[in-house]
Amino acid sequence: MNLQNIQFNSRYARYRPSTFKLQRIMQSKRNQSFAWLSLTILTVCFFLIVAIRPTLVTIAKLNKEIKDLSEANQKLQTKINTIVEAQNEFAKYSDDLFLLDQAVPDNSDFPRLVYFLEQSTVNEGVELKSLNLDRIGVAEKTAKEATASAIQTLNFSITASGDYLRLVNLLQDLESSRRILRLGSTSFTLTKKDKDSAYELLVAFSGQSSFGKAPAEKHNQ
Amino acid sequence: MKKNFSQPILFLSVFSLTVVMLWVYLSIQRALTKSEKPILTPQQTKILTPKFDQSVLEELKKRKF
Repeated sequence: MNLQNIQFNSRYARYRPSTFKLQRIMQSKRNQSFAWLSLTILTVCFFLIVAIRPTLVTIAKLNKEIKDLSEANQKLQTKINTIVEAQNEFAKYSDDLFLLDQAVPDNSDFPRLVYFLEQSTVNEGVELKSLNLDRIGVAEKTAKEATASAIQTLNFSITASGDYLRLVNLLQDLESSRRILRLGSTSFTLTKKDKDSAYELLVAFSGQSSFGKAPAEKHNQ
Repeated sequence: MKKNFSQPILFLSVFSLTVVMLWVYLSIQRALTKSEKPILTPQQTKILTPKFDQSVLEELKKRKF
């Protein structure tokens, strides 16, 4: 045991001057106070970093989250109220909503359009000379294409002959059809079939009929 | 010359405490102001105006089909 003590003392003998110096410094009352104060402050710093800061930050984050969620809740409640109001409005007019589908159908529904155009000429007593419709795709579009071009148009052109008033009535009929038709350029021409025959008044006009579904974005709102 | 080491250590401690306090304050401020991501999308917060123009339906009813 004694041998071990001797070895220990000889190993740490070089630190003895510093130890003595520290002991000498700590003998002063003022230095002792400074040392204890420094130690206390450093301990406070340690706990501030390790324990207090994470706790306070967590509390602040949770407070912020509660505030944000309360605001979101309020906004959603407002939106729910408007949706309920919209539902009531929809229910109120649900019986008449088919009119909108007739005005702008989901698909081109061109047989019905052609029938309507023919019937209008027949009703007004004018002769339908020609009726041309643009080619339209009948294949189902992809969702992306459908969103990009939600509302499509079907172009048509008509040439009819008859007397002036009947032709004007035909145009008025088409403009006031339930299916929305947009008439474009209209031209009246007076022609003769051959030298001996009388003059014939022709009207040529082009138009557009819209169809398609409202964009998906609008449905989601 | 006799050197007193206690005083610089105390100054260093006070300085450390000040820096740590400032760091804690800034961390709390940041946590209170910064939102990680919006809870609701603009689409979800968009307010609807559920007013239906009845005159459109009346106008369509008058038209020929």
